[in-house]
Amino acid sequence: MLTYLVRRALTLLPILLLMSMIVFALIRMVPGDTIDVMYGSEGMDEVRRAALASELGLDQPIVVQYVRWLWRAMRGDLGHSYRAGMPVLQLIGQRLPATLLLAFAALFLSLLIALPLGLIAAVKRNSGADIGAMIFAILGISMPNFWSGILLVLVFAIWLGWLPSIGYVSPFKDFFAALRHLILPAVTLGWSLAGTTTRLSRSSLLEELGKDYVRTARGKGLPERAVLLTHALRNALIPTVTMVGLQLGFLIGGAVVVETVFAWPGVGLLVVDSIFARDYPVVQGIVLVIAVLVVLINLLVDVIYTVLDPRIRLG
Amino acid sequence: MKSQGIRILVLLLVASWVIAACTPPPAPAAPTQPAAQAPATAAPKAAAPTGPKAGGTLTFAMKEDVTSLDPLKAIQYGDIRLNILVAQQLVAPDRTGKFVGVLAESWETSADGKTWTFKLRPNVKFHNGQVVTADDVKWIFDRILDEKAGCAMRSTYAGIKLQAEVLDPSTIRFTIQSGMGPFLSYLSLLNRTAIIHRDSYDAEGKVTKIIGTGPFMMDEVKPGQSYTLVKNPNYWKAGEPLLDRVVLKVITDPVVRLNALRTGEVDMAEDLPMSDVKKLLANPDPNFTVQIYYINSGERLVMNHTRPPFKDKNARMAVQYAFDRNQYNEAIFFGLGQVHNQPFTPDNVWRLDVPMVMPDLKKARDYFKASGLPEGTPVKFLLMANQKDRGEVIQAMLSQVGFKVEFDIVDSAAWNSKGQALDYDLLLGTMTGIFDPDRPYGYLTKASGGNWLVGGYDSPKMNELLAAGRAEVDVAKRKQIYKQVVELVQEDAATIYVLGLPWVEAWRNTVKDYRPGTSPALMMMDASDGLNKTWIDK
Amino acid sequence: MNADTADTAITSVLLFERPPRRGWSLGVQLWRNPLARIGMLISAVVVLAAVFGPALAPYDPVAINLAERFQPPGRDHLMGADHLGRDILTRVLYGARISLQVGVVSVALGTVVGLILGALAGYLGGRADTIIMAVMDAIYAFPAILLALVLVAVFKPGLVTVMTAIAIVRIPIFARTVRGSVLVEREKEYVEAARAIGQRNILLFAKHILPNILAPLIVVTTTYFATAIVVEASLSFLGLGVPPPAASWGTMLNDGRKFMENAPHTVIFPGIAISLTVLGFNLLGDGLRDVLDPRLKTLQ
Repeated sequence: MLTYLVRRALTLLPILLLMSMIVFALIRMVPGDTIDVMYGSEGMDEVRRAALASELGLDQPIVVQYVRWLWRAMRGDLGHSYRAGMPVLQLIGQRLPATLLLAFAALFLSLLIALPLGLIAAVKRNSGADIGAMIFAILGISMPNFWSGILLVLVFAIWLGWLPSIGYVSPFKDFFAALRHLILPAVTLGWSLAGTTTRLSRSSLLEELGKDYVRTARGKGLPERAVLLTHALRNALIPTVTMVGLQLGFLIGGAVVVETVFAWPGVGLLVVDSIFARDYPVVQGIVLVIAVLVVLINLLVDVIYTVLDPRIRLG
Repeated sequence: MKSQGIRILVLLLVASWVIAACTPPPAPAAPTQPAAQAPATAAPKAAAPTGPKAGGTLTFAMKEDVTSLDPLKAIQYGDIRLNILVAQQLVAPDRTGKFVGVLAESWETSADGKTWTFKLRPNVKFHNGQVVTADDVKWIFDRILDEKAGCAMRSTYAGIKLQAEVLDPSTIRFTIQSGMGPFLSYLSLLNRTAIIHRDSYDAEGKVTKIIGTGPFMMDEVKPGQSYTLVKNPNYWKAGEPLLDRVVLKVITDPVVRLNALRTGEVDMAEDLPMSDVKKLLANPDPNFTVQIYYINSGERLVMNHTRPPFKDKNARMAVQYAFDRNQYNEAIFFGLGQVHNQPFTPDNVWRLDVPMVMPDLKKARDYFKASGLPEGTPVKFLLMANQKDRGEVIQAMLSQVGFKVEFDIVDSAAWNSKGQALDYDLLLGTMTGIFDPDRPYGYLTKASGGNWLVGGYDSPKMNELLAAGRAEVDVAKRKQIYKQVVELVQEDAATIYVLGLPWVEAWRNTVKDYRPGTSPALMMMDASDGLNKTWIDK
Repeated sequence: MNADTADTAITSVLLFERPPRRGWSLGVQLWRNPLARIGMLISAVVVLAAVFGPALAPYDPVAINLAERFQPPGRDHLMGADHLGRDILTRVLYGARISLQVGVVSVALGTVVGLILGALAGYLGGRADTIIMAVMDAIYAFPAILLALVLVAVFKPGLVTVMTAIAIVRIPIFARTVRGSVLVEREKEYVEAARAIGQRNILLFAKHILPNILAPLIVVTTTYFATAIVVEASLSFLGLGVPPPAASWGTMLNDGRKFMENAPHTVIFPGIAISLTVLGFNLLGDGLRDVLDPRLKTLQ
C-alpha cells in the first residue's frame, strides 16, 4: 500500500506543473491586469503605469515571469499578494481553517441527512416515505445556495434571532461561539450536498439488496436489520465515500457563494476575489494548494476503502 | 402512496402563491428630492443621555476590500476607509469648506501664490513614537515625485512643478509654478498625500503596515476579511479617541451588511440596499439609525466620441434628450439620488446656474433621424455586473429612440482595461470626492489620463476653458469660467452628469457621537470628524 | 480488487448486466413507476413552457414599467411584477427556454466529451488511462470561476459561453463515470467472446458496451441537467451569468435577492420554477434507473 500511495503522490508533480502553466496563461488572457484594478479607475499616465508594472514585475516577458515564479515556488516561496503584500502561503493559511471547518461540518450534516434518508428510501421503495425522502433531498440541490442561505438567515438570524448571520470564530478560541456561527452556513451547504448523496446511497443500497449474498443471508434467517446494517450498508458505503471525497475536493475551493452570503472567510472567496483583482501570485498559489489538497483527499478516500472492504487492495 | 407526493407538491405550490399574493404592496413612492442641506435621518427619540465612556470595540462593515496599503498609491474606496483612521494630511477643509490645519499648524502664502510655507504642529507623534518633522514631510513628497515609485499624485505635482524644501525641523516650504487655485485641495487628499513614516515602506517599497499619525493604529491585517485597529495612545489630540478598537469587516454583499447590522453583529455599516433605506427612512428601526448624505459626487452616462455612432453629435443629442434622469433615479435609487447636471451638491459653491436639459422624446427622435442612423442601431454598453439594472433601464429609454443597446458585462479589471482602450459605445462612470471643479471637468480633454472616462471627448474651446480655470485663483472668476464649461458640456453632449449619489451610513443606537465627514468619500476628512470622538454606550 | 474498481463501484451501482428493454414498453414501465411518473409530468410541463411559453406570455419580458413595480400577484400580473415593473409570469415562461437551453447544451457538451474521454480511458487502460485521468483531475481541481471568466473574456459573454464553461467543469465527473462502467464491462465474458471472434474495437464498443453503460449515463445526465440550472444561478450571483436582456431563472432569483423581504414574490416564483424543474428531471432520472434495472424486479 505504501508504494502505491507514494506512486500516486508522485503523479502529483506533473499535474501541478501542467496546472501552474495553464493558470499562469489563463489569468493573463483575461483583459485587465492588477494595475487596472488597483489603480486604474481614475486614469493613469504612462510614467506611473511603467513604475507600477516594474514594481510588480509585470513588465518582464511572460516566460521570464513564469520561470521566476516557478523557481521560487519550487523552494516553497509562493510570492506575495499584490494587494496586501502578504506572503501567499500566509494568506492561504489565514483562510484554510475556516474552509476546512465548514467543509467537514457541511459534509457531516449532509451524511447525517443522506444516509438515513437513503436507507428509508431504499427499504421502503416507492412508498410515500421514499418519495418524501427523495423530494426533501432534491429540494436541497434545487435551491441555489445564495437563496437558501439568505432564507435561513432571514428566518433564524433576523426573525427568530437564534443564530448569528455572519462570521467565523475559530473553535480553538471559543468552541460554542464557533458552533453557533457554523450552523447556518453548514446547513445551507450540507442540505445542497445531501441531495446527491441521498440518491446515491439509495441507489447503492438498492443495488446491494438485490445481490445474491443478501438473499443468502435472509435465507439463513438473519434478522432484517442485521442484513441491512452489517452487510448491505457497508458495501453500499463505498460509492458514497467516493462521492463525499469528490464533494470535499469541490468544497475546498468552491464554496464561494455560501462564503459571500455568510461573510465566511474561506478559500473560495479568496480564489474569486483574487481572480477579479487579478492578484496573480495569489491565484497561482491557491490553485496549486487546492490541487495538492484534492489529490491528498483522493488518496485518503482510497485508504478508507480498504477499511470498509478488506478485499480491496491498493496497488 | 405516490399520490401523497403529488398532494404535498400541490399544497406547497398553492401555499407559496397565497403567501406571495398576500404581501401588501409597498407604498407607491412619490419621487422627492431630499433636502440638500440637512441629511435625511431616521432616528428614534434619544434615550436619557449618559456621558462619553472610554473603551469598547466598534465593528464597521465595509463594502469593499482594501486593495493597497500604500496611502500614496491607493485610490480605491476601501483604501480610503482604512486610511482615514490611521493617517493624516497637512491640511483639510472643515465643515464650512474653509481649510484648517491638521498636521500643519499654520501656513503663509506669498503674494503670487507660488510659495507656501507651512509650520508643523509641534509634538505630533507617529505610531512608532517618533515626532513628525519637516524631513518626514519632504521624504513623502520626494517619494511622490519619484518616477519609479508609482504614486498617484506624481503627475499632478510634477505638473505644477512642486518643490519641497526643509527650512527647519518644523517648517517646510513648497514652491509651485501653477495650480495655486486647487493647491490646498491637493494637499488635503488624505489618501494620496498622507504624511506617514518612512519605515512604513520595506526594502522593496511595499507597505504592510501604515505608520501614520491617526487616532488608530494598525494591528491585525486579514485581507478580504477584516482589519483591526487599536487606539493610538499618543494621539496628538488630548482625550481622543475614545474607542479601544475598531474592526473594519469586509462584507461585499449589501443585503448581508444590512442583516449584520440588524442583528447587531456589526455596529456600523455603509451602502445598504436602496429599497431598504427608503423603507427605513419612513419607518425607522428601533435599534439603529440610517443616514443619507449628499456630497459632491455623481454618476454619469458616457458616450464614446472616438467612433460611430456617438462620434456624430446628433446621435449624442438623441441620447441626451431620451435620457430621463428622474425615471432613472426612481428606478435605481428609489428617488433617493439628487438629479443634476453637474457633480456638485446644490449648496456647494461650485454648483453653477446652468439649466438642465430636460428629456424630450420628440426632440430625441428628431436628432436620431438627423443623424441618419438606421432604426435599431446597435450600441455596445460596457458594464460591470453590479450595474446591470442601470443598463436595463437605460436600454429601455434608448430603445424608444431607435438605438438597440447590447450589453458587454465584464468584471472590473476588464472594465478598466476595455474602457481605457475606448472599446465601448456607452458606459457608466462614478466619481466621488470632488473638491474642485478641475477634478471632474479636467477629464474633458485628451491631455488628461482620465479622458477615457468621458469617452475621449476633446474640443479646442473646452481645452481653453479648462486651462483658464486652472490658472485662475479668484473664485468668482473661476465660477464664470466653469459655468461656460458646463454649458459647453450640454451643448456638445460631451457627457451626461446624471445624479448625485446618496451615501448611506447606518449605525446601531449604542454608537454615539459619530460625525460623518463632510466628504464621506472621505478623501479629505479633517481631524474633527469620523470616529475620533465616537464612543459606545453599552 | 484495486482502487480502480472503487470507481466502478459508483457506477456499478447504476449498472446492470443485461441489455435494457427498449421501445414503448419502456414508456409504460416508466408510467407505472411513481417516481418516474411525477418526474415525467413535471418535465413535460417545463418543456411545454419552454416551447410554447413565449407565445402564451401576456406581456413583453423586457418592458420596464416603473409604475407597477413590486406589484404583488393579482389580476394584472398573475405572478406579480418585479423591481422594474416587468411581469414575472412572462419572464418565468421565457426563462424556461433559457434554463432548458443551459441545461441541454451544457450537459450535451459535457456528456459527449466525457463519454469519449471516459470510454477511451476505460477501454484502452494503461498509459492512456493514467494520462486522461490525470488531466481530468487537473480540470477538476481547477477553479471553475477562472475558467468561466476566461471563456467570457475570450469569447463574447453570452448563453453559449456560460454553457460551455459549465460543461467543461462537468467533464471530469462524466468521464469518471463512463470510465468506471467501461472498466467493469470490459472484463465481462461477452466482450471476451466478441474479441475472440475478432470483432473490431470500435464496433465492439458501439454494439456491446455502449448499450450497457447507457443507464448510469442517463441518470447522471438528468442529474446534471438539473443542476446546470442551479450552477448558472450561482454564476449570475458572481456576475457571470447569462447577460441581459435574456433572463434565466437564476438571474431573476439573483436580481430579486435584495427585495426578498419586502417583495418575496420576486424570488418565490423563479425559485419554484427552478426547484420544480430540478425535481422533475431528477425524479425522471431515478425512475428511468429503477425501470431499466431488471434486478430490482426480484426485490420484495
